[in-house]
Amino acid sequence: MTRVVALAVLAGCALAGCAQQGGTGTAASAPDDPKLLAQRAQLGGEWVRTDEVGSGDFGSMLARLTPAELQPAAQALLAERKAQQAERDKAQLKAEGGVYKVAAKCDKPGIVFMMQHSGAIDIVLQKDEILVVPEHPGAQTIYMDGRPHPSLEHFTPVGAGHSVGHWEGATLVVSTVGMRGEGSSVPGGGIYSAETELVERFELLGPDRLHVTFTWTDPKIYVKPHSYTLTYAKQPADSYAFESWCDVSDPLQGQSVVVPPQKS
Amino acid sequence: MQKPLAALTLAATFVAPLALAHHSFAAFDMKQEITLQGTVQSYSLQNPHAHMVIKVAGKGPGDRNAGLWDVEGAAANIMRRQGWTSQSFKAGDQITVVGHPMHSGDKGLSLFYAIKADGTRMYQDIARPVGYLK
Repeated sequence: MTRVVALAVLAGCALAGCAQQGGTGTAASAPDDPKLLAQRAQLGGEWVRTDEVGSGDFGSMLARLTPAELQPAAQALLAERKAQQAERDKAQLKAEGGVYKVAAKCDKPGIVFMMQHSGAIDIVLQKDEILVVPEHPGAQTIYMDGRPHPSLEHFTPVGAGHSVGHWEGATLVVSTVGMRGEGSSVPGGGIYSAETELVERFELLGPDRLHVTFTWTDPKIYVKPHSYTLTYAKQPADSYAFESWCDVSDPLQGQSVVVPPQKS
Repeated sequence: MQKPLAALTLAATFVAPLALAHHSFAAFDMKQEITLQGTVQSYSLQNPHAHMVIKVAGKGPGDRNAGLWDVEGAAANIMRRQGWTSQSFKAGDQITVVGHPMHSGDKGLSLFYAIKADGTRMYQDIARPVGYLK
């Protein structure tokens, strides 16, 4: 608790400022309420997704989510992408002398992959911006100074898009647009374009438990906004970021099982 | 070996993106789980995926699981978050592994979790067994 309060003091003005800029606070607490600032400060640090119920495997964790309701054209596009990926994987899977060669790839940068991945994310709270940093390349910068999104007409879509945020009490609310639509599929079976808006609500359930609720809105893609919630666990204070090193030109990157020679 | 692989790969690739791995896991039958008991021959917590070779004695003559297996884990950073270090296993350690076998029948396994000689269970990723309650 001492550490939390100390963090709150360090980040205090920043977090209070954030509240004044964009947050509504709560009816019971002013934006500079030390208790509220301490709650917000608990969001800082490293987090890892959790499987709280037992899904059996990673894919089943996502399969538990409510499926997205897609417009017909979006359904067709998603199916086409899956088929293309299956063809690529099929074409590149070969076993030669007990060495299994597979499609080599590195983690996709961007919010979608970063937030569903099982590596850690590091949430860094600063005065006018908040960073969400994964262990693979790419990070999300959330502007907390009240600026609007830029015009998408003049914005080049990137993995993390453009994010702005504000506080609603102790909950961080982030809006993102401008993401590269050919990135990772959305959990629950969705896709997105640069025009799609993603709203993330970071809600602490306690000092070591975090819910992030994701809501995707785009009438061209979704019949209705698609929402799901993922849970994250706080990592020990002495943990540190560990790079998910990836070099697609490394021969190991395209290699899976190497069946050992069987001794007679 | 090639024929069954070709027939089964397409279906396997539609299984959800397991562990969001660096490479396709189409070679594995992710709907099956098998358990192997053996002795560690080598272990490397490496990228893109950790590997260990284990020797399975088998349960007697004719046991098709007897022999040397390559067990593939997750990326090093993911396994570290689950408690793995470069010293988690060494040659000669007794080990039980639970994982997904290869469609081809080759001695390769996609790891779900390992059990050390002292009973400690070590998951390779954040997923937990069905019915698991923390």
